[in-house]
Amino acid sequence: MRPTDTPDPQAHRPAVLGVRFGANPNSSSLGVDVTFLLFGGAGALGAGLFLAAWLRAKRKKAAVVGRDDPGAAP
Amino acid sequence: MSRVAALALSLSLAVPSGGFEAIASRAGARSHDASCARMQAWVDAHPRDPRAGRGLVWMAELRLVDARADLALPLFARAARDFAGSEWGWEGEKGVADLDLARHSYASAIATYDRLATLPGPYWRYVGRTSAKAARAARRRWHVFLLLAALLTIGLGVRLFRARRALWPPPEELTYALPVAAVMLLACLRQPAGEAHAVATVALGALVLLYAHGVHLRARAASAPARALEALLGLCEAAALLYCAVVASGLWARFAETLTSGAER
Repeated sequence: MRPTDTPDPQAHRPAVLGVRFGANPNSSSLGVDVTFLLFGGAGALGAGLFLAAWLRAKRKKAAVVGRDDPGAAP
Repeated sequence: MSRVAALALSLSLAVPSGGFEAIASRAGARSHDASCARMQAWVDAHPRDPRAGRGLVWMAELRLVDARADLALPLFARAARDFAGSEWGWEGEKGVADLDLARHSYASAIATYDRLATLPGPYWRYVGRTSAKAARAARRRWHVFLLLAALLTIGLGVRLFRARRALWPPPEELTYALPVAAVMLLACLRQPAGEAHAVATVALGALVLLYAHGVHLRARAASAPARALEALLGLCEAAALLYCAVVASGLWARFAETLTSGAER
């Protein structure tokens, strides 16, 4: 191979200061934190409303049995 | 850089020499108010100059950068009126239509876009068609938003009325949800205005819905089918609240992009 004045690209390669995977500078998506807050908040609300309807019904049923059954064991 | 800022910059770079150029090219060195005052004086001194239309649109775009739609509207309208039939007159018409769209005046905005789509040349045909299509989609979303907001409000009112004798103390659902809502509201502080508005709407709306459902369930003994209906309605109301928060915050396009392409890290 003929020697040249070109510096070795490996020796003078600029340092990589940081790598960020999955980032798209042209993306107009919402940030992952906002997405988590929106979906998490709405999901927690849906679960809360669903569970409240179910659990309150269970509790009422237990209370009614306790009140109307004087012979029941304490 | 936003589209508006890029247009303002391109207008600054594209202007010809003379007093007009001296004003436009130094927009970055002065406040927008000062730049607009100078440009307004130039336009008033040269009302018949072909560059006056460009100056009006330039000022309007600067005002939009500052979120001053109230100041941008008369500038776009004047460009559309005084330079009708020219490139800057059409830019003025589109600016007025864009502001109409932002104020939910869909009919006038769509009419303007449809008219622009009939202009000769591919640019205005493309701009008119795509803008009209987007405006029609935005109108549909707005109508769905109004319907869902009305249904949520009616459901809220009915539940509170039926439980009017037992509104206090707050139900357990609310006490469990309060810390979560507080964290969400705190997280809003680091977000831009649109995102913060959406998250705060979900957090506060969730508290209101949980309170209404809680006091209603506590006050009324419901049958099994009614409980199932309440649970199903709860899921639907959560989805409706999310939709309303996103649309009312002007985040629909980004929300749809997030659903199709994933969230931005």
